[in-house]
Amino acid sequence: MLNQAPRAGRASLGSGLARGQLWISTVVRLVLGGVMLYSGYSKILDLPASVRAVRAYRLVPESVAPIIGNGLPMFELILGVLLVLGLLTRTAAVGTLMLMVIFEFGISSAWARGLAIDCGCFGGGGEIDPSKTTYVVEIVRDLGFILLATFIALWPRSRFSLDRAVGLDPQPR
Amino acid sequence: MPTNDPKPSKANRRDAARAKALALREEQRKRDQRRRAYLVTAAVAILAAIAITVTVIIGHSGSPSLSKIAAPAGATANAGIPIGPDGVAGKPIRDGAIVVDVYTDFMCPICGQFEQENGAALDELSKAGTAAIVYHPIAILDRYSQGTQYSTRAAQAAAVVADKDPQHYLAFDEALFANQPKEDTVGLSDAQLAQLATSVGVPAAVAATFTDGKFTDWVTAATEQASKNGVSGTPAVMINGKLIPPTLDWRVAGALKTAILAAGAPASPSSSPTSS
Repeated sequence: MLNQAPRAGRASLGSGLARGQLWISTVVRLVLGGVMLYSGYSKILDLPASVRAVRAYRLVPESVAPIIGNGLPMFELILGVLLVLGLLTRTAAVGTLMLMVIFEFGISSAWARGLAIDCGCFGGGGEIDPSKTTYVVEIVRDLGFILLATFIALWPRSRFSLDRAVGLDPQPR
Repeated sequence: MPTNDPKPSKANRRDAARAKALALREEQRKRDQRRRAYLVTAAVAILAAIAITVTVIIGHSGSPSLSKIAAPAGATANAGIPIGPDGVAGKPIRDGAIVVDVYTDFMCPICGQFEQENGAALDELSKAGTAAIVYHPIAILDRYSQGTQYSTRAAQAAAVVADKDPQHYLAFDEALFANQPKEDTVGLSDAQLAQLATSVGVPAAVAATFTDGKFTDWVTAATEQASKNGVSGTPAVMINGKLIPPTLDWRVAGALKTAILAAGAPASPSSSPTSS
């Protein structure tokens, strides 16, 4: 695996690859963190709308919908902060990955059941005109986020990470 | 570095001791790291749990309970404004009438189109006493008015008219749609809302109270109730408490009226249904 630091004296190609990975992981981490911050922020400004967006999927009972709708935006913000700071990077990436997989399931299930809703991914949500649904875009976009999160989960080490500063990533560079 | 030498020399023994010390130090370092990771994870998890719990509590307290707040006179327990056969708001739903719930947001362009295409037919059924029309002015599009909460303000104004000047409710509702602002604009100002109300006959003294926001909580609760009833967008129409199927296209002339008449009156004595 690339996140194993090259041992001293290794061929320069290996360390070059490792350095490249550190930078790629840094960019991917910041992008994914930014996405999570934005999606959390856009939802937390209107919590009732977030609850309605959850109901519109018709997947969870009424007793659960307000908890998800009210709690999800803050959860996304926290994941975003962790990713941007690079703190508990792998854990945050796995959390994001699981969330995205759940979203992917929710969106495709809404599509399959013939609902005409906006995914509410970045605020909003609810029923829209059937001609205005963008399920393909939403699913592909979500798939992209899944790939980014998977990359970070596999190669969490990166530059400018708090993990390194607090000693959670002490391997030599 | 372990050695295979059966009889370790002094130098070898020293090396072995150093290796052992190194291994011990490495193990200590790993233990420290594990502990740090555990501490950081625990701290973040606790903070996250608190932050999420607080948000959920704030979210819950932000949705007022319909039963505990002031509602416009004559509003149904289901947060609707029933229209009597005389066109006056707040009249109790007559037994034997087909109950038609109409959910609209004054910012929603398709709701405007709905009013235009079906308003007359609904009025006709209402006047004939065949159907009881129950309007639900809700606010799901507040984010499309650049922060002025137009959906809530307009619905609140409508609720005030229903409460204080119910005979002009329908006229005000129609005027709001006729003068509907475009999405992503600030919408009508409070003064313009008041002006629009007086232009259809609402007394100025009533229009002047729009800014008090007496029914703002009611609009919020009514919106929440609509969502619980299964309304996930506007316009939404329920006939006898059941959402019309997506296959029923109200844009087709006469389609909605036909469906209402075909439904017939509900079997049980009707009050506005509480949920779908």
